[in-house]
Amino acid sequence: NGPVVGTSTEILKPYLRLTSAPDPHKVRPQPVLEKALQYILTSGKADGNYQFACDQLKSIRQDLTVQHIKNKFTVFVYETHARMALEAQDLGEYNQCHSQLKRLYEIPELKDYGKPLEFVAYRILYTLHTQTYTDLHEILGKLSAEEMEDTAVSHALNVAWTIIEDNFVELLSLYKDPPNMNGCLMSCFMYRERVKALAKICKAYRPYIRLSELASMVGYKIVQDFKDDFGSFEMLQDNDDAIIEFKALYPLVEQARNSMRKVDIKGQI
Amino acid sequence: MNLGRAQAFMEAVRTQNGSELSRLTSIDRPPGSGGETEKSMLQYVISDPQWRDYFIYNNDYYNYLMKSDLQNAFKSDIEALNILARIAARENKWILPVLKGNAGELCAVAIITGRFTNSNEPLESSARIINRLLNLCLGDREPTMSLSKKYGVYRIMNLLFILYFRLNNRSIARSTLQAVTASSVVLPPFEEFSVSDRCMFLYFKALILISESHYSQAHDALQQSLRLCHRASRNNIRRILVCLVPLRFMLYQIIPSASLYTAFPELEKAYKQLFEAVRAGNITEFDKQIDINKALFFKKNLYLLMRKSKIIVQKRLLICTYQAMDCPTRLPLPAYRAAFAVFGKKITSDELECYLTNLIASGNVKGYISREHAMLILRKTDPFPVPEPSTVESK
Repeated sequence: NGPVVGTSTEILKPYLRLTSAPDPHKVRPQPVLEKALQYILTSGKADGNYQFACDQLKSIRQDLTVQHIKNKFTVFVYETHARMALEAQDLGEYNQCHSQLKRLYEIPELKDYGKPLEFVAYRILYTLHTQTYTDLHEILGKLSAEEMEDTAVSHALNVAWTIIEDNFVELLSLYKDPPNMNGCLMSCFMYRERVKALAKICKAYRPYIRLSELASMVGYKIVQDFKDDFGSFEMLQDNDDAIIEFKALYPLVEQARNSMRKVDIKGQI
Repeated sequence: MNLGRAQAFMEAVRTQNGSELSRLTSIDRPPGSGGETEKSMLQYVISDPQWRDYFIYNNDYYNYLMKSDLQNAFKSDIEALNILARIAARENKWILPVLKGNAGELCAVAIITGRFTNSNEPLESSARIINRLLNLCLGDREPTMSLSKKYGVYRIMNLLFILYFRLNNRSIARSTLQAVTASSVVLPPFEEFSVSDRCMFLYFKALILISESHYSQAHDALQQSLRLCHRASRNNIRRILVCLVPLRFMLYQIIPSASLYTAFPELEKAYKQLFEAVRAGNITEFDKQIDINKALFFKKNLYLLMRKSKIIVQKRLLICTYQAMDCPTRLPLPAYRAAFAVFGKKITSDELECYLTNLIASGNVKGYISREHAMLILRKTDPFPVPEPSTVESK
């Protein structure tokens, strides 16, 4: 079947999964899609309403796919949706967009137009989240010197090294001011890394510590944030000056670590 | 007219003489075997059309090779193997030498052709046909194991690994390995395969395990591969050592002796200065050496492993400090921090405590940190043991 040629002029269109051949009257040609995207980005209706933006963007993506449109606009749509998905921590959608972008970047003109390096960084950080080292090795094996120089990519690489070396202090430092949306992906695994660090701290230090100081060691400036993030630890829901015994805390932390399930590669096509 | 060769060919087929047939269809066939064969007369010598077509394509392959026409040789070889695959489906174990021989040669021709035309296409098309041969061997329905084509599995799989690794595609290699090991197909016992098949298989299995960061298993596979490796296969031993050396370092905290570099000067560039830095506890030099060899380590999937081994250098530095202070049970943290400064590395006390935390939590240091006194309290006896390799990997 050849590509569909759309005739619809609707700016807004909810996303419906296709179960049969698409109806050209419902598919929007590129000029309409450009207006639709502009509406999403500038109308303010999408502010704080990721569900709406995601729905509309999926619909735009669908119209592009059935019309076999693979150009700069397509790249822009997918990059935009990917970034929004990251911000909203919607990893399933982010993954779909990213898979498509990988294919689009293989087209030479599009690679120069889009931001492939930004997304190489995301790819690296994503492997750290899912802990799939095969993917990380593959990325490293194919990195060019130019890619390694890029700010976002080298930041992501440094994050990778800190996780491999268990350099928690350096990891916190890299989390302070990450480029692009590297921080959003880091947020996915920061809790896991903090728990890991906490477990090691409990093993290495004796005999006890003030709660506020412990919070600071795990990278929290505000003690309440520490208590909130570690809400399942009753022992830590105390006043800031409370004495925490390392030996007593350790089994609770180990239990938490064991119950953290491995992350699945979500939403991949 | 060269019917004599066709007759020898048919005789080998008739008597199911796999090794003879392999020799006759290889590049090492008897001299004077080239030249055109009168095709019209051929049908009287080789009555079976499939064998006949295979003979013709194989003959073309040889003739093109003798004329140094690589691309046409390769094309004919692919055709020949396609037909051989169909023939082999109905033959049993006797045909294995032919499969192995032809497939091995195809690989070699593909690699050279690929290099010559600067393209991956020959490697890819070879991989496709050899994959077909692998499935053929794996799916052999011969009920008697001693007659089964399953005895060809490891050799054919090794050829696939060679191609996939050249294509820099470890993930397909990995899925091939998984498909074979996970399948419910019962293979002959591993020990019944040839030494060279086992050696190469274990090598590639280890490389795949390294890419999965399963370092302990990779080390064991490489050790076994090394033991099986023929003493004279210097290149193969070197390939094994390139990966085995860092693995042994990471898991057992053992560094190679100088004799390694005399035997293998190629390893000197990557490892000599690096391990000298380790011995001295020189963390800055260690970092520098990893960076210098970054490209090589990335390619061999060893970079993460080297980074993960940094802790051993930090440990070495601590031991040097400890010994310099006459083995105290209470070691002031500033002393360790000063040791870093000796090698030009300025670190914060937080970072220092982070390194110590890792050392203690990983079992490399027996003791604890007292923040109050800014001290590291060490166990009196054996405060710096080498932890079990199995604990090194666990996160």
